[in-house]
Amino acid sequence: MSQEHVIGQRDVDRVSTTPVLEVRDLVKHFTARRRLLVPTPAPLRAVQGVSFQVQRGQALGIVGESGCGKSTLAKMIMGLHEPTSGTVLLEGRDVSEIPRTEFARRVQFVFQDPYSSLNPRKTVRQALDAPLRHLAGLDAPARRARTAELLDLVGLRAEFADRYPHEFSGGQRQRVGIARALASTADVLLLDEPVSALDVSVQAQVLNLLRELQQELGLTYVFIAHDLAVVENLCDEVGVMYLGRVVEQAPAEVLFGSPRHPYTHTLLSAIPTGDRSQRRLRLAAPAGANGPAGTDEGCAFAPRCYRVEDRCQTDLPPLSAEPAGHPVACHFADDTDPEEHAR
Amino acid sequence: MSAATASPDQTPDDGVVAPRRGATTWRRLKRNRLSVAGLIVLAVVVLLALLAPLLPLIDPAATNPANRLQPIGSEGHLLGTDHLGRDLLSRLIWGGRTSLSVGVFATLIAASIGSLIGLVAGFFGGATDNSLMRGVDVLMAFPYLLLAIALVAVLGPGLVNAMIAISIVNIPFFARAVRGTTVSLVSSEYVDAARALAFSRLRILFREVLPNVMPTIIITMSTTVGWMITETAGLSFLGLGAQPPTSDWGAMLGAGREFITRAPHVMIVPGSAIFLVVISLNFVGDGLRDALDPRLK
Repeated sequence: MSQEHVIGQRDVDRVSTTPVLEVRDLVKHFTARRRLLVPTPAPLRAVQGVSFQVQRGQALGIVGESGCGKSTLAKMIMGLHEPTSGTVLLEGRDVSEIPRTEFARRVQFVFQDPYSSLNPRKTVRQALDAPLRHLAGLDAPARRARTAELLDLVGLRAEFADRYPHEFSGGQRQRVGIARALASTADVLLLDEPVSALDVSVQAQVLNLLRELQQELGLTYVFIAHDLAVVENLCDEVGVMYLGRVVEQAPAEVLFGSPRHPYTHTLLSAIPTGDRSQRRLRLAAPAGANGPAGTDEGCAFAPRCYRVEDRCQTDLPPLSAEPAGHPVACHFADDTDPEEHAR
Repeated sequence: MSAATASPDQTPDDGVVAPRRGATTWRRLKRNRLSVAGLIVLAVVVLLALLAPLLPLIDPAATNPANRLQPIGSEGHLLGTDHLGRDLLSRLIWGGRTSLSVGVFATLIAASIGSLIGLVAGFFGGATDNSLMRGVDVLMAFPYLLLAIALVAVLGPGLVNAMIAISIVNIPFFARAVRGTTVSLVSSEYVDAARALAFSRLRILFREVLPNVMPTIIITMSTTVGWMITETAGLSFLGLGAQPPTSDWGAMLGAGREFITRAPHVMIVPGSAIFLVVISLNFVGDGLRDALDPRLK
C-alpha cells in the first residue's frame, strides 16, 4: 500500500504516526492433508498477499463475500492461523517476536457467532475473570469491580455476571464477547462479522455500542463484514476483498461515493435501498465461477465482471492508485461506470 | 416474531441470580423420577454394604451342610441358603461390599487413564493422536473378556488383579468417547477465544475443554460401572476373581449354576442384585448428564 493511503488522516494520532497495526503481504494457503493413493489437491489460496495499515483510533472495514478470505485474514492477525508468509506489525514491531500474553493485552478478537464463542459452562464472571487476572493482572476485589464496570460499559446489568451464556439473547452474548475482549486491556479489536449472526434490530444496537466504545476508549478496529451497509457508518477506511486479494481500498466516503472497481459497484448495488426503480447490477456468473483457489492468470473477478475484456483473462491487474486516486485492482479503474457498461 | 424476541437485548424476565452450581445440579436431578428411584436403590445398597459389619448377620462363611439349599423365606435365612448351607442374605450383603468397591475403583482407574488419553489425543491431534489411539485400538482388537482373562493369568488370580485387568480392558471406551468429544470442542470458537487470550495449552485443555467433556465422561462412567461390576462378576464366576472364602456377586452366581434347576434362587439372588445395581446406575447416569448441562435447564 502506498504511503499516501495511510488510513484516516482526520484524527492523526498525537503520539506517533507509526500505524498501530500494519499487515504486510499476508498470504495463507491451506494444504489438504496428503493421503495414500489420492492425488493431493492444489492448496487453497485463501489470502494472497494482503497489506494495510490502521492508525490509532481508526476503524478499517474489510468487506467481501463468503469465502473471500476475510476471516482467515483476521485470524492470521490474531495468531489463530499461522500465516504462510507475510508479517503483522504492532506499532512497528513484528508480532511473531512479541510474547503471546503481551500481544493479547493489546489485540483481541470478537467472534462472529456469539453462541459458540462463549464457553457454555462458564458464567460471565468466570469468562471475564481469567483475562482480568492473567492479562490485566487484577486482584480479586479489583476484578469484581472491573467486571461490573465492563458489563456497564457494554450495556449489561451487573447482576448478569453470574449467568451462563445460554441465559442470554444473541445481542447480549455479543456484548459479553466484547466485554471479554476489553477485559484483557486490549485497545485493538479484530471484529470478525460481529453482527452478522444477529437480528437486524439488534445489529444496530451492537454497532452503536461499538461506535460509542471506540469514541470513549479510543479503540482501533479492524472490522470484517460481508455487508457494506454495516461498514459504512462505522469505518473510516474500507478495503474490498475478492478471492484473497484486496481489489479496492479507500476512505469510506470515497468508496461509497465514487467506487471504481466493478466488484465494488456490484456490491454497492446489492444494498437494499427501498427504491424499486433503482437497478441492481447482475453478476455475469455465480460465485465461485473461477473457484476460490484462484490463479495468477488474469483477474479473479473476470468470469463475473460486466466490464471484462480480453486482457482481463491473461493479465492480473495490480492494486494501484493510478488512475483512480485510491488503490484499485482493475485495468479499467477510470472507466467502470455500470450505467455505461452493465448489460 | 413476537415483541419479546424482536428486542432480545431486554432483560430476561426472571431476574433470578443463578444459585450455586451444586445446588442447581441437585435440583435438576430431582426432576428426573427414574434417576431418583435409581439413586434411592443405590443408596440403600451402598448403605447396606457399608453397614455390613454392624448388621446382625450370620457369618457369611459359616457352613451348615444339613441346612443346604433352603428356599427363600425359610426360617432364620430370609433369602435361603446355598449349597454349603451359608446364609444368602449375609453373603449378598458382604459380597456387595466387594463387588461395588471393585466396580467403582475399576471405573475410576479406567476413567482417569482413558479420559486423559482421549483428551490429550483429541487436543493435540496429529502424531500424538495417532500413536495414542492406535495403542487404544490394539487394546480394543482383543475380545475383551479374553484380554481380561489373559491379564489375570499373567498377574495371577485375585480380586485386586481382576480389578486391574477390568480397568485396563475398559480404558478404550473412555479414550474413544472422550477423544471424539474433545476433537469437536477443540475447533470451537471459545477455544479460539481462549487462545486469543493467550491461555496456556494446559489451561485451555483443563479449564475450557475438560468441563465440556465431563458429561461424556460421567455418562461413560455410569454405563461402564455396570459393565465392570458384571465383568468382575464374570471373572469371579470363572474363578479368577474373588477367592474363597471372600465372596462377591459373581462368585455367588458361579457357585449357584450347578443347582439352577433344583434351587434357582441361589443364582437369582445375586443375579437380581447385579441387575438392580446396574440399571439404577444407568438411570442415575442419564439424569446426571441432563442435570450437568446448563443448556437444558
